[in-house]
Amino acid sequence: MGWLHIVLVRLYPKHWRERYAQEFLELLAEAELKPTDYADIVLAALYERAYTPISPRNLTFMGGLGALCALLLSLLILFNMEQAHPQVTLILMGMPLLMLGVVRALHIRFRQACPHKSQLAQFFGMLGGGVLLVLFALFVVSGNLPSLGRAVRSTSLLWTALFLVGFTFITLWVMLAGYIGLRTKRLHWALGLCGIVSGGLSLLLVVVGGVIFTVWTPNAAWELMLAFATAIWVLSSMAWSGGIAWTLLCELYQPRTPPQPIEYR
Amino acid sequence: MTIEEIGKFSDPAVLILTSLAEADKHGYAIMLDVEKIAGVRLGPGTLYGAISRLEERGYIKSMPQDNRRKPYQITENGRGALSKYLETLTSIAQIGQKRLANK
Repeated sequence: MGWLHIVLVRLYPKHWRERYAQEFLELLAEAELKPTDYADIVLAALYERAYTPISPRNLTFMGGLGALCALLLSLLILFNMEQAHPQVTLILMGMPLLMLGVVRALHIRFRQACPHKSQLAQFFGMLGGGVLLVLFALFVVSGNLPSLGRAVRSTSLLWTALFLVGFTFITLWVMLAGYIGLRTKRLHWALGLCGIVSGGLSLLLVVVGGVIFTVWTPNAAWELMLAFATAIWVLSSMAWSGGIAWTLLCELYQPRTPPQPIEYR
Repeated sequence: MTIEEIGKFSDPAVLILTSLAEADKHGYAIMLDVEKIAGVRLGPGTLYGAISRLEERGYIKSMPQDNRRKPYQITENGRGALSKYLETLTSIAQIGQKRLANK
């Protein structure tokens, strides 16, 4: 089971591995591991990662990755919906921002650009995730779930499940990026906060929406679901608009001071 | 600085410090000793999560490597912190016992 131990150790952040990997592997080889021990290791590794300051370059990469996912999903949705659909405009508006986020993040990641410039890429990366969240919320409101290569309206269990998994993933990513940005003070606090707020609200939409659809009858619940999703969408959009506007104001009217060096572990 | 500041890993940290108060031990030996003295099995992730935080705060230090295993030793700071924590626990235990006896 040596390979499994190595995989488990790889879950930990680099600074931790450099210090403890050898003796940890020794312990894993020596102890008779129970199934709960594997879960314990995975959780401890995730905890270790969440509480390790992330370098601006990696944070930027996360933002860019989110923007790239959002871009691909938006393209997928765009090619599978009626061109007259009102949400097409929103997708077309969001795409250049997503592109900017991806390009900027890739530039910083691979061209070793100055770390303080990563703020802009984080901004666009987060914005990309936000656009996608709003887009998904709109799909819920309008009753149009993405359907790949088939009729526009699809209510099959498989597509609904895929949609919910994708939505939850992006939501968690936006929340995590916002949270890490706030903790490491590398993302503007307003943007970090709006990531957490809109991500949290969207996650609530998934949970409450799921309860509504499974507990109540679909016909009676649809009106309620519509009202709830609209409220979430409005709140989410307000959080994003506020966060983005505040960030832009700060960027425009406050002189940029060079960031203090942070010691990354 | 107190053990409680370690947060999520403070309970395992107390068990590890108690184990090391007896003698220097490596990770697996700590795991076995804690199971013996407290009846609690510390998972490897929890064990090393607590060890890394204790070392970071200077409560324990690693000793020169012994056959690919690294023993740990409790420091004076660690002894002080453990003693303070145990005093609090003893005081709570005494009050608890007294109140239970009065009922």
